[in-house]
Amino acid sequence: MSNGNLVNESRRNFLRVGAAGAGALALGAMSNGTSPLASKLAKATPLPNHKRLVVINMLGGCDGLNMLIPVTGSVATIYQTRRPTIGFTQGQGLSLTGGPNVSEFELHPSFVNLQARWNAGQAAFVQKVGYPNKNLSHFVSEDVWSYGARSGIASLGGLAPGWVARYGNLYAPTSMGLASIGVGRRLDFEGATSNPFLVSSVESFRYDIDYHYSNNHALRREVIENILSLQPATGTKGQVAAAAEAAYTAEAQMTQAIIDYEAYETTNSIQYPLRAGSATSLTNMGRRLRDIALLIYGGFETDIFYTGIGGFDTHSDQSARQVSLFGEIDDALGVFFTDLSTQGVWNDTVVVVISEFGRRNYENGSDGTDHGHANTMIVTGGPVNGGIHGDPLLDADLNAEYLPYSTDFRDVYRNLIQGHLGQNAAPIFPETQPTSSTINVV
Amino acid sequence: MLRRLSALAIPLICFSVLGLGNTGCSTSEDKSNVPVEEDLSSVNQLSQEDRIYFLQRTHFGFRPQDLQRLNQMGYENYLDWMLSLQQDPTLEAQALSATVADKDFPNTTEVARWWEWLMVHNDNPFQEHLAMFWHDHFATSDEVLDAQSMWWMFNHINLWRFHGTDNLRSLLYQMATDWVMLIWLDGYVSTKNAPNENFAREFWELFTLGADNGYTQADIVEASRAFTGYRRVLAANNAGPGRDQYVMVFDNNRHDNTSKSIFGLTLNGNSQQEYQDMVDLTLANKPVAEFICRKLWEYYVYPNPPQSVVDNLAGDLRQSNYDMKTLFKRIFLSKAFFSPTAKRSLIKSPVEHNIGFMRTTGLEVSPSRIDSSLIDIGQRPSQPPTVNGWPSGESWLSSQALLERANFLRDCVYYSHESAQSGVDVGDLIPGNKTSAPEVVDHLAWLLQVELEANQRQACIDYLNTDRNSGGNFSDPWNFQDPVDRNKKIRGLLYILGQHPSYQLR
Repeated sequence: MSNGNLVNESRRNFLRVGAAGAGALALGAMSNGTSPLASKLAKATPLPNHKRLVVINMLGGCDGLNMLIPVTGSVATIYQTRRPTIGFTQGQGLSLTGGPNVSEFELHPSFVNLQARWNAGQAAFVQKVGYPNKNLSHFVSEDVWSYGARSGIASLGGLAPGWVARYGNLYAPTSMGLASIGVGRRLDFEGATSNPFLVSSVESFRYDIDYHYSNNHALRREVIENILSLQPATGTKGQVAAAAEAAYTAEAQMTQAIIDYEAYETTNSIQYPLRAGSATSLTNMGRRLRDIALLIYGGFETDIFYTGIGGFDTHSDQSARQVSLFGEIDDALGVFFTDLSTQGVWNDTVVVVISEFGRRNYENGSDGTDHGHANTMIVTGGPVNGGIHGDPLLDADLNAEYLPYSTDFRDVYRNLIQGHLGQNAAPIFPETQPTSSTINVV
Repeated sequence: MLRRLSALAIPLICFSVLGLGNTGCSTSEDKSNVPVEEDLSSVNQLSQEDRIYFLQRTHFGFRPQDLQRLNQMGYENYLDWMLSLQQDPTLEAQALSATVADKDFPNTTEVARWWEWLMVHNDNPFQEHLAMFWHDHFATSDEVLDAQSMWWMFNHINLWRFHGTDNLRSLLYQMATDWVMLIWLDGYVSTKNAPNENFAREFWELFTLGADNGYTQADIVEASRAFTGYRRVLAANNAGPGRDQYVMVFDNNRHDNTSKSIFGLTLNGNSQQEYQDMVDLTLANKPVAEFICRKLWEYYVYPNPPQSVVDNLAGDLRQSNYDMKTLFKRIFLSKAFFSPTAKRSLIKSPVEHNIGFMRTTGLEVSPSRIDSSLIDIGQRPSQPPTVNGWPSGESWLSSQALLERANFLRDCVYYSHESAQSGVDVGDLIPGNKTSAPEVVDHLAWLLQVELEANQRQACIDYLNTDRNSGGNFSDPWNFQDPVDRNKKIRGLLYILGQHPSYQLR
C-alpha cells in the first residue's frame, strides 16, 4: 500500500513536549501497535518556570461556613445558634494561629495538610465569594462559574462560552494547553479551538491492540491516521477528523510520560492516598491530582488543569459527609504538595478550590443545609499570599438567610491570571460587573 | 392533513391529523417559501437512502433486516408499530436470564447489563433509543438505591421503555411518583414539616420548563409542599420468605394538605392527587410543550431549531391534549426530518456508537464488556452523572471519548475472533457475489454508512492488499477465500471504517 503522508502538518495541532532531543522510543515500538509518532518523543521532564493553575471543583455546592469556621465574637454566636446540630465551636477545628496568625476562625478538622500550608504562609481563604443575582440551581450556578459571566453567552460578544476556553484560545492554544481530569467535558472548556485534553484519567488514555494480529493492527493504525489526514478540513466531518488526529498524537506522548513518571514516583517514594481497604486503588481525588502531577512531570505545556469531586450537595447527614469529602481532598493535596516540591515546581503552581455556591446559613431538619449563595474559596501554592482575604464576615451576613457575596469570583480569577499566570485577564472576563474588588492572593 | 407513506410509494392518501398548523396536504406543485429544514408538512416519497437514514437516526445504527422490515410494512405502518412500544414477553425473559441472577435483588451492574442487552437485541430498537432520551431527560441514577430497593430500577427503566410514547400528562405523573425518582430527588423525605425543594425545583427547571422560565423561588417553596407524603418502608418477606424489600407508600399524615399558592393561583389540598394536579397546573399555565418539543427535535432532527418549528409542534401537542404518538409521527413524517440540514447533523452518543456497531456488524462482545466500555466512555445507562443527564454533541469528541470509541471497536473485532474459531465467520457480512477488494470496501462502507473520499477508499483497498510483519509492510493480495486473510482483514477494515469521521455522525 502507499505509505501516505501520515501527518497533515498544516492541520494537525502537534502537542508540545519537553526538552528537544533524540527519540526515546525505538521504531520497533510500531510493531506492537504504538503510533509511529511516539518515535518523536524525548524523555519526560517538567518544564522549568512554567506557571500553572490547578482548579479543584467541589461539585454540588460546598458548605464553606463549616470549612472555614467562625469561632469568636458575635458572628460565632450567631453561627452556632443557626447551626445547633452541625455547627462547630472553638477548639473543635484546626487552629490558624500559626503562619499569618488568625484567631477568629478555625479550619475544619479534616484539613490537616492545608493547615501545614497555612502555617508556611502558603494558604489563603477568600471569604464571601459569589456573583450577582444569586441562583439556587446547581446548573445555573455552575454555568455562571463556567461562563465566567452572569448573563450567559450573549454578554461575551461571540467569544468562547467557557472562561477556561477563552484563556486557552488566547494564551495556551495547544492541545495540552488546557487539561481536564475526571470531570468530563465541562462547559468551562466549551469553545476551545485546540481540542483540549479532557480525560477521565491519564491511565485510560491508550489505544488497545488487537493481539491476534499485532503487526496488522499497527498497519490499521497507520491507515487510520492516513485516512484522517485525507479528510477535507471543512464541516463537522473535518472537525471530527481533527479531534481524532489530536487523540492519536496525544496517546503516543502520554504513553511515554506514564513510563517516565512511574520511574520518578518509585525513586522518590511518592504515594498518593489509597481508598480505604485497598492496597492499590487510589481515591478519586488522589488519582486525579496524581494525573495532574504526571502531566506536569511529562513536560506538557499545560497552563490550566481542571478537576474535582462530587458529593458536596449535603442536604442531609452533612457532618459525616464533610469529614470524608474534605479528608479526601486534604489527603491528596498533602501528597501533591510533596510531589510538586520534589519536582521543583510547587513555586510555579497555584491550586484554587471552588464550588458553585455555598449553603444556607442555617441547618435544615435533616442534619444538612440547603442551597445558598456566597462561599469561601481556598487558594494554596508556592506563590500564594497566605491569610484571609475579602471583606470580613459580619453579623448581618449570618443573620440573613443567604450569605451575601462581596467579592465576585472573577476578581479572584483575574488576580490568578494576571498575578500568577502573567496574562492580561481583561479579555477573559469581558462582562461588566456591578461589584469589583481588589484581591491579592498572589 | 398528512401524506400517507408507503414503502411501495403507491397510492398517496391524505388523512386528517389535528387540522392545525403547517400540516396542509401539499402537492408537489405547491410553492412554499418555508425552507425545507423548517417544513413540517409531510414528505411525499422516501428513497432507500432516506429510510436508511431514518433507521440510523432512531435505531442504534442500521441492519439490512431492519430495512427489510420497514420496506415490507411501509413507512407509516412501521412508525405505528414502532411507536406502540409493545412488550415482548420472550425478549423480556431472555434479557433477564442473560444478565440477572436474582431479579428481586439485582445489583447495579446487572441492571446496566440488562438494559444494554436489550438495546442490542430488541427488534424494535427505537423502544430502547427513545427510553434513553427520557432517561437522559428525567435523568435518574440507581446509585442512590440499596440492595433492597435496586429492583425498582427495572420498573424505572421500563417506564421509559413501555410508556415513552404515552400521553405527556400521564408520563409526567408517572415520572413524579416513580419510586426511584422519589429517592433520587429526596421526595421520600419531603414532609409537611420539612418539605424538600429538590424535586420541585428540578420538576420545572430540568423536566418541564427550563431554568428561570416562569416560576419563582416562592413557587418552588409552595410546590415542595405539594410534593410531600411518600415514605419508604421495608416490606417483610416481599419477595418470599426472609426476603425483605423496600417499597414506597403514600402516607397522608406526611402530606401537606393545606392549599398552596403557585403561579399566583391556588392549588387546593388533594392528598396524593396533588402530584397529578401539579402536572396539570404546570401544563395549563406554562410552555411545557415548547420545552419538550425543542428537546425532542434536538435529539431526533437537528440542533438549535428555529422558534417557528418549536412553536408549531408545541401548538399541535397542546391541541392534541399532549398525545406524544401524534407528535412523534409528525416529526418522523416531516420534510424537515429528511432535509439536508438534518442528515448527519448529530454526533452519535457513546451508547449509539457502541450498540450501533454491534447491531450492524453482529460482532457482539459480552454483557460485561459492553458495560465496562460504556463506563469508561462515560455513558453507562442507569447511571447518568447528574440530574441534568449526559453532555451531548461535541462534548463526545474529546480525545478520550474518541479513543474509547476506537477501543470498543477493537474489543468487537478482537473478542469476536474467538467466536470465529468456533464457526462464526466475519466473511458472512459480505454478500457472496461482492468479494473483490473494492466490493468489500464499498459494501462495508455502505453497511456502516461511512462516506469515503476517493483517496480514502483507495487507502482501504490498499489495506486489503497489504500486510505487515516485523520487517514492515509487504504486498499480500486480497483473497476472500483465505479464512485467515478474511478474518484478519475484514476485522481490520471494520476497525478502520468505524473510526472514519462520518461514522461518528448520525
